[in-house]
Amino acid sequence: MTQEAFDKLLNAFSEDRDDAGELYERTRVKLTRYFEWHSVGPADELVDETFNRVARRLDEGQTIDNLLGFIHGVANMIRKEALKKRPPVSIDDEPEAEKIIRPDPPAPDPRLACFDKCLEKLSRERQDLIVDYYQQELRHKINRRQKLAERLGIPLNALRIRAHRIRMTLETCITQCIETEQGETNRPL
Amino acid sequence: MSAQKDREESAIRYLLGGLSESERTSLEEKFFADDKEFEELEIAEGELVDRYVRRELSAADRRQFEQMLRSSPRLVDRVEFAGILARTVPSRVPAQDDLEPAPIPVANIKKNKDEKRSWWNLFGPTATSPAMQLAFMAPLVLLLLVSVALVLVWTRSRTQSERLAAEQQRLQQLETQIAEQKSKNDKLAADLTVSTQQKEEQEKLLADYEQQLEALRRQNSVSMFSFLLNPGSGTRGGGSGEKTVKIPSGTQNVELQLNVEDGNYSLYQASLQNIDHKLIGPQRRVRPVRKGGHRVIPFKVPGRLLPPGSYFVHVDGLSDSGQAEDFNDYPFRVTR
Repeated sequence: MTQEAFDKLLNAFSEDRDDAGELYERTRVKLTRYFEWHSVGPADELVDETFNRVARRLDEGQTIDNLLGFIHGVANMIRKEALKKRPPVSIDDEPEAEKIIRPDPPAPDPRLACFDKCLEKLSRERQDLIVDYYQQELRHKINRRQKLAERLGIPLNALRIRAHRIRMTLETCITQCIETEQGETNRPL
Repeated sequence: MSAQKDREESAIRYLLGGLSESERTSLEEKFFADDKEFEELEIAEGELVDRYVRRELSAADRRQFEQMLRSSPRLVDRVEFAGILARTVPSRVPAQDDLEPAPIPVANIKKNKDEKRSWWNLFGPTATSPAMQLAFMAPLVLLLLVSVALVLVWTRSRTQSERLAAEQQRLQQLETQIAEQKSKNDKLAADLTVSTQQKEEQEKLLADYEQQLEALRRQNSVSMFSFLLNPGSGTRGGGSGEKTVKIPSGTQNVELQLNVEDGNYSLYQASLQNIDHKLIGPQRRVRPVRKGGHRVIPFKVPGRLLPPGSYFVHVDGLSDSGQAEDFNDYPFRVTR
């Protein structure tokens, strides 16, 4: 993609450069999820290809009224192409995960240490909320979440969203923490 | 709330590929256009991950989800996180103290019982008055003493009866409390047994899921190879020479981690080129991340695009105005 084409793509998102950058990044995340959820990949390459094709159309002078709708359409096409390229494999032929022997986990488990570290970074209220929300006892889960929402004085749906956002913060923190702990770069992933 | 639940279930069915073409398209149009709709799907993804970890998915859904896991290292991370969450936020069982009945002051009761004294002991031996020798006075003195004794006996008797009745009542209350506590204790003990069983089941599920996760990781490790690349030459200069990298056979994807420690751009543009400066693959825009103590930009290339030979990645930094500024070249040689 040329610089000019990329500029046109950003302008199609918004005339304001900052807004355009944000919209581009958000759409990039949505496209990545789109390809992941359809089990085609590598997702980031397909996302690049999607943006390249949209930018090419814009560079050729095509007028696009509904940019996000257009991007979705292009992504849908690329997904179908990727599926055609992939030889069909029956999921029954996949190796059985259970049969592979699991190596001994490293001790102490760095993931648990990172979880503790990241949980500590949250405010006390957010810590309590995430712990209360993700209690694993199925019998009482729904009632407990309802009571938690009542205690916080918010609707249950708002509680779901709040818990989700805290969870995403924790997940990001733990991923970064584990990468820092491992400190290895030149290794097979 | 039911509508909300339906929405979540619909989102989960979408993720598992269970919607019709028209339902799927409609939902996708919504989440591309609306960030809130997109967040709903992310929440549903979290719920799906939790169900997978807790083994609440049907066999078919489970296979479908594992298909998704194979093409998304990010989702594998999420599954791992859900496992940590399940292990670290354990089911709360009633504390041991709660199971103990409140201490019953049985000793006190016994003591009180022991304290019951025979009222007739209150009377000391009647002293014989010397006046009794006086035959004239004897009947009067005797009558007086008997009267006093009778009054005392009646008074003491009434007091003791009242105390006994109160003690009896107190004893009954305590016995009732003991029975109630015992019943409560039995119920809590039963709950504890159920909770312990559930915990054991959870732990078994977690162990199973970790085995599967490890298998998936192994599959990923075969398909992805990553290495750090330092700058060779460019406007910043001072770089190292060409790095030789041996890529294992069968590698599907290669991730080049381009060291941009010296750069201060928030966005870069990178392109892979062969020794004749011919572009290989599309140009990419990437944000720098911190990995293993280095500030790097991850640049993924399909393994098939890298047969043995010399290559370099040309990197431009993008200024705030979006202008591309020549940053550095990263030369490397591939052997197999």
